Amino acid sequence: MSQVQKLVRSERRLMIGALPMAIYFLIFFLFPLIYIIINSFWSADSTGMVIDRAFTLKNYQSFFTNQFNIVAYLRTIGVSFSSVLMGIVLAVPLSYAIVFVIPKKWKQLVLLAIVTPFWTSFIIRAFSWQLFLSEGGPLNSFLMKWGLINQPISILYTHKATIIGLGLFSMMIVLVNTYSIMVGIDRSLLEAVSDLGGGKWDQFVEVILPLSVPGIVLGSMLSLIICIGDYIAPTLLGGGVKTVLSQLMIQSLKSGFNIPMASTYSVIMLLTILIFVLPFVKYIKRGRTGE
Amino acid sequence: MSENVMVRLEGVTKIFTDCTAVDNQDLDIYEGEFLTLLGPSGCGKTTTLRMIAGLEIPTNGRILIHGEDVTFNLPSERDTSIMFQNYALFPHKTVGENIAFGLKMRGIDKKEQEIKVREMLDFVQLPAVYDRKPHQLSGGQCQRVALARSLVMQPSVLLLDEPLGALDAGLRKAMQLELKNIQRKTGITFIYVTHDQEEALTMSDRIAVMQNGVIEQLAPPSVIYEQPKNEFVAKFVGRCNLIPGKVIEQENGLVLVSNDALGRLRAKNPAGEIRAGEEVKILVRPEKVWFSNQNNTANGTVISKAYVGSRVDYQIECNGLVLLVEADALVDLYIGDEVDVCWEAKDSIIMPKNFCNTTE
Amino acid sequence: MANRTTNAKSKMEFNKVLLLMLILIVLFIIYVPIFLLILFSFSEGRFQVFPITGYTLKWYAQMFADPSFVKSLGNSLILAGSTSVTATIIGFFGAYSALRSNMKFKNIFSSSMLLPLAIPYILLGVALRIYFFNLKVPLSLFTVYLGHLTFTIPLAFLTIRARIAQIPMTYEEAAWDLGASRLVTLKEIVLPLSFPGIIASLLLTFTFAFDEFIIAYFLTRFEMTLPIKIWSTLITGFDPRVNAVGTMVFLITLIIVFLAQKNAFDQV
Repeated sequence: MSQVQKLVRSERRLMIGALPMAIYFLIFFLFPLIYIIINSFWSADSTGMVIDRAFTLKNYQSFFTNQFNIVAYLRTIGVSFSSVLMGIVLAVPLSYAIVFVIPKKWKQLVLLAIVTPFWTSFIIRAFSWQLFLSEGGPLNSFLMKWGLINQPISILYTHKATIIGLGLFSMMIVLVNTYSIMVGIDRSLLEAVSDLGGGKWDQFVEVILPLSVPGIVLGSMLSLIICIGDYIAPTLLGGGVKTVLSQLMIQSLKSGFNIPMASTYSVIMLLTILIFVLPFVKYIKRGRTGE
Repeated sequence: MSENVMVRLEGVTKIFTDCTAVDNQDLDIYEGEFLTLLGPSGCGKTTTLRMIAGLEIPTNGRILIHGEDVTFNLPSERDTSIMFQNYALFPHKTVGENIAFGLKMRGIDKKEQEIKVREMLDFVQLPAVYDRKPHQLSGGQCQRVALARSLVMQPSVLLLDEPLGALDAGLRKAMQLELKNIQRKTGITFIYVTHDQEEALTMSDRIAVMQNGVIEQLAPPSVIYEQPKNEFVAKFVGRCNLIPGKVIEQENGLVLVSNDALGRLRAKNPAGEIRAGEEVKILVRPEKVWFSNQNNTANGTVISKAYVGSRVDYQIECNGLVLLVEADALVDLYIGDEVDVCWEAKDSIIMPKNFCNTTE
Repeated sequence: MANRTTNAKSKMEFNKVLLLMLILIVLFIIYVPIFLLILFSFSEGRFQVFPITGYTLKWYAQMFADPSFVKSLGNSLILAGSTSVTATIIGFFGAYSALRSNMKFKNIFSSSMLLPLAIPYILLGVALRIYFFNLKVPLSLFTVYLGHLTFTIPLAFLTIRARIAQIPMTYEEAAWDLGASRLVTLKEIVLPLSFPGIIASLLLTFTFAFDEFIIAYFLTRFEMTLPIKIWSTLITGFDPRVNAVGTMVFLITLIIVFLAQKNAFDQV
């Protein structure tokens, strides 16, 4: 019988490997999250130093009754969705082009060339965009030189700049996820479409696009999460004048020091993400098992 | 082959979450024996092997090696060694390191390790690959290295899980002979898993034909082939003609059976008791049938003909019943020809009906 | 009939050209700002406008002469280094356990471990800041390290798990059969075979931790990381040294991506 125990123990011992990770997850992820959810139902006085631990919906009330907050929230959603949309619209044809148009030996290189810059600090990239988009910057001087515009157009410090910045980032994420599916598509499926009288467009619409859906969805969800939470692009490119949710969060913590209010903003952000992401989880799962 | 039991399974059952892989199995494997577990994929043969190796723990039952209960022993605590289908040669280690791995685990010193490894490589006729990595070897060489890695541990029992599955046909034949020779030379008990009936018939001392986690028949190859216990075994180990009929009477050790198409037929009945009026099938192997008109004659028409190298396969239709005949290539018939076919009563055997519903 | 085919063919060629143009435009849009950054980092003028009057290395010299830049760079390197090593070790054992133990709810375990990757960094930052504040943990580089581990551990887990999943179980079984214990098997078989995954994990978590801004922004007070230093420089006004820092950060990233890519090719 001791043999049995020895065996069971050796199997159990293997689980110990997962323990540090699980503990870390609990202490530094789950507990903090639960803690801010609880905090969002508490309230702070005007100095922010005294916290009343009585259950209250005051923070949520003040969020939903304050027009400034509502506008900032809707702006966050609008900017995020526009960015993801821009990402999808660019990434899908781009992915198709890399997988099916470019000669084989260039594929990896082109993908790498597009993806690599996104590994750099987002702040640095946003800053380089400032250089590019500014009124005296090369984009405007280029356009004016060629007579396309008469006076500098202002893109920098508007939503357009934020959306361009976040949209390109989304493009990269959607591209990587879609590319990995498209390269795996069995070429004989496409040959079958041709054999049955279909053209390139039919190949794309009937085979490539439907098979790529899980990758597109996964990429879109990941970029949506990043866009909703991003603070850098709206501040550096959007100019920080038109407030978004992440800026409200930072203000309430760093200048206002209202922990319950900051927690409320966080919970609202979390819920927003859940609402948009949960319906698509099954697609993402399908994409994973399809790999 | 002595009669000492080397490995004994007692009521061994293995239930996975979704299926019963091995069902209440009893099996004695003798010292120095070459036993093959033969069956289609998913019949429980690999699970049986893995339980003997200690890589799976039975849900019920006991496993004894040398009479000692090892059911719950770790793989390393058993006098067995397993060879995997994909050989499982460690890709990051050289051939020498691979073979020495088990010796190293036993704490044998470096010099002795190398001597033993070199000996083993000579034994499997691969003296020159000591420093190579597995990916530099051919399939056949990998197979020998894997064998050497197991044999160097001097196990009493060698477990082989479809070791020839990845080789091409020519090499398989050669390796079959070689494995058999090695087994004879070393006297190690071999338990061999395969789904290839030809491999099983050529190499084994005994074959256990398995289906759905149960051993259908355990016997020497000739018995398995010539006197299969039921239709499943008959079909699995070779091609066959199965002629349905009704028992009329038993006479001189042969059974007289009537068939609608062929009339009265005689066949052996190894199973023993049989009652008149019972529904049975008669098994005749296609190579036991020839064209002539002696006993058991039937008259029919050639409906298909296929060259298979040294022989020709004919399908002969006799009153609606189609018989498969494996004939010498010298016989030259054409589709549509009328022929008489016959076989000896001793070459046909009775399959009781109650065993016949296991397949199809 | 012939006419129609040539039409279709020319249409196909046209689409191809269009798609190639798209690739070129995207590459252009991605790289022009970066080239500007590099160009201006060598530009003598204080303002980032054309035409460039002369070239100089003075911004680089000034950057390395400024102790706060050097200090924050050092902080970031130490932070990213220790984060990547810790995350990779924890992630490796987590991945091995998740794949090879007889743990119940294996799938639930694996997917919940990935949850930190499915929420914005800003939420992690805010939640941890409030949590640490409440537990009276003083904010420092160490709290940033703890914060970075929350998302780098899942990254390491994901990367290494993908590698271990490709190692056939039979290698480990063969090692057990030959007398190796689980621990020895881990060292002799699993570790060397998952080496490419471990390297990939180290590089990936290093860049993520090195470049991460918002979590660090919330979780440190006086000690700066490089992204925070760059951020505060940018926010307070115009400083041409940022071009030099940015160019340097970009080059560090390029080197790491190159190493990661080389690692990926070597394992094939």
